[in-house]
Amino acid sequence: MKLEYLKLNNFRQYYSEQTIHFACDSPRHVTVIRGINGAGKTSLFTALNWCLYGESSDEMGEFVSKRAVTEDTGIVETSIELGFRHEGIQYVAKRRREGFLFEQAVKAESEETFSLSQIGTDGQFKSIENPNWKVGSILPADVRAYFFFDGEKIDNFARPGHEKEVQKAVRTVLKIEAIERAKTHLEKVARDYRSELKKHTKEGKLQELIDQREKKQADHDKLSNTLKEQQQEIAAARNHKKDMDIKLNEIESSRQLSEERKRIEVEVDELQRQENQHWLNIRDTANRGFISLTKPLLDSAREILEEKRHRGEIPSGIRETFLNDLLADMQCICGRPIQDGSKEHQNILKRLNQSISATLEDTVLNTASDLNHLTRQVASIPRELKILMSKRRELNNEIESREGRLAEISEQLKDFDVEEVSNLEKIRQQQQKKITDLEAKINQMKGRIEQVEKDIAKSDEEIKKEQASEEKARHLQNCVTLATDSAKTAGEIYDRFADDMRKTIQDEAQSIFQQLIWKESHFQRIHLSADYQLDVIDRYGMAARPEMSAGERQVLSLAFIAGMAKVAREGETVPLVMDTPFGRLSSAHRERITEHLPDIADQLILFVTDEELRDRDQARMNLEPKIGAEYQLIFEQHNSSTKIESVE
Amino acid sequence: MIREKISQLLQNFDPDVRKVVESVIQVEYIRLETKKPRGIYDDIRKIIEQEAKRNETGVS
Repeated sequence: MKLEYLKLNNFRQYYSEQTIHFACDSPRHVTVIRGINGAGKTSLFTALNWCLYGESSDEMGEFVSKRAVTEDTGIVETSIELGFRHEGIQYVAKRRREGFLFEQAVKAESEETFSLSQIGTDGQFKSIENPNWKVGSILPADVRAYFFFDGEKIDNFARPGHEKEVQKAVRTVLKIEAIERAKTHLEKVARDYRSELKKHTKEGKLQELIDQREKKQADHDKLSNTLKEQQQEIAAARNHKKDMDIKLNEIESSRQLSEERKRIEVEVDELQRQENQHWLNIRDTANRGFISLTKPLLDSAREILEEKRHRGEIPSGIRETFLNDLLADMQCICGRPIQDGSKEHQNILKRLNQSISATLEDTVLNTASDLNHLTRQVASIPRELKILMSKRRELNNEIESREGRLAEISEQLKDFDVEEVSNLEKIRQQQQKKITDLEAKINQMKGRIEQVEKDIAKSDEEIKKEQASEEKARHLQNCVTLATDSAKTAGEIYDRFADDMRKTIQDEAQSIFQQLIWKESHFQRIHLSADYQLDVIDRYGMAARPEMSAGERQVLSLAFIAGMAKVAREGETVPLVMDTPFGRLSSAHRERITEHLPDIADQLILFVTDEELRDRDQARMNLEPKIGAEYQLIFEQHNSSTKIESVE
Repeated sequence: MIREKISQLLQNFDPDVRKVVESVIQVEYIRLETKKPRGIYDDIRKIIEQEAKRNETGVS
């Protein structure tokens, strides 16, 4: 981040619109803003913070220019605009408020507004939807305190009992909390995964289902084998019976009865086929029987349609297109011309007015037709059933009569006076009985096999479901492991990161401190302890902080902040903005700081008093080649306003 | 320097875990300003599930 300009409008003692352009680029990357006490240095510092972070008291009078509000009887706008660059993109941030004078006090007219725009390469402004979040992501509010600071107050870091402040600074600037939060959040996610996993884990359930399925398959195979055996058995019995028929046919005396039996058996087969077909027809007709229950509804629907037709709300049977055709031709279908305004013409127009769209007309006509069809069906179903049942009875009677004759033939052949015939028929009867028994068994077996097949299909479905659940469980288990291990790892690196970075800050601060402090041979090194105590070790190897002057503590704090800034930098620069940085410092320190600080910071903005940076002092001369912009704040007594003047 | 340091510290850990931790820390950085960041758990789950799935299918 590099600050480019700050535009003030009626802000505190800065009347009307005034702008400061900051020096951004090395080697002249230092901006000096000079002003005596009370000229408005701190107001500029406040303006910068207010613009980006909006932190202030709610009192409107705190910010608005008193001169502007007393000169203007209407509403006065106070605003700060800050132009800056970040990661190669230009931004303009603007915060504004409106107020007016009421009984010697400034009252707010509207809510404070904040906008942030990005300037594209084409120079167009593109508004950013969540400006506060964006500013926070560029330079977080709590981190900002270590880059925009009051020089006179920074010695706090080096004061005894301020370890917590040092620790907070390190944690904030290094974003250590992110690792801590990562660990906590990962632990919570791992817990959530574990409880989800419980719902998906049923120990051994899949194996149990597979075992059950195998058992059913074994049953199925066994039943299929039995069926096969029965089918073989019945085939053998039929062949045996057929052999008997052939033999009975070969014997002269039994041939006639045998042939008669053969003919009747063919007839019985055909009658049974017909009877089966009738049974299917009866079933289908009976299935449509529910329509009978809708009779009251159908009657009611038909009545409604009739009523609507009567009122002319639905088609009266004459199509809209037909009426339009009559009017277009002005001729009746009988060929008689239709006179304009005649009774017939009026009648057609009246009908046309009552007509409705062709689609609706079709729908209504179709509905009426469907209703009639259903009503006819309601009446016909009992009749159809009656006919079918009667026919079936007839068929059964015919079958029964033929079967009776077959039994007679069989008895005649069994009691035949030729022994061979009698024996053959006895064997045939045995085979027939066997066939009848086997047919019953086979039917029963087929039913059992069908049921087992259904059970197997059901098992397959359950196995599929369980497999999907187990797959999900496996995935969840992987997530649990990953989340748990990651949380553990985040915890492990947290301590090492904090410790390593503390040492790195210590080394960076040490190197900067040695450049800034004039007693570099006495103060040998900086020590940042594990409990974040910032100290200096002197040449005797002893802690020297208690003996340090306020100025020396200020230098130590500055070195610490600069060290942190260097470590925290992620390839992107952050400006150092210091209010009254040299107030307490002796000339020796001032000289050293002005010599080295510009090399530590990529952009340096200093708000100084004339006393802090005198024209002919070495400190001023050190800074001179690096100053890219300089301003003087001139407080005008006659209107109590500050004018910002650029110093050439 | 911060990111480099984190990467360096994670170097000896399992590559999948390293990837998850780095991604989660990035997500945390973005939301560090918010005390109770909304949607943080969903984002973390997305990172973990993506990594787990990548492992299961072997697709990188």
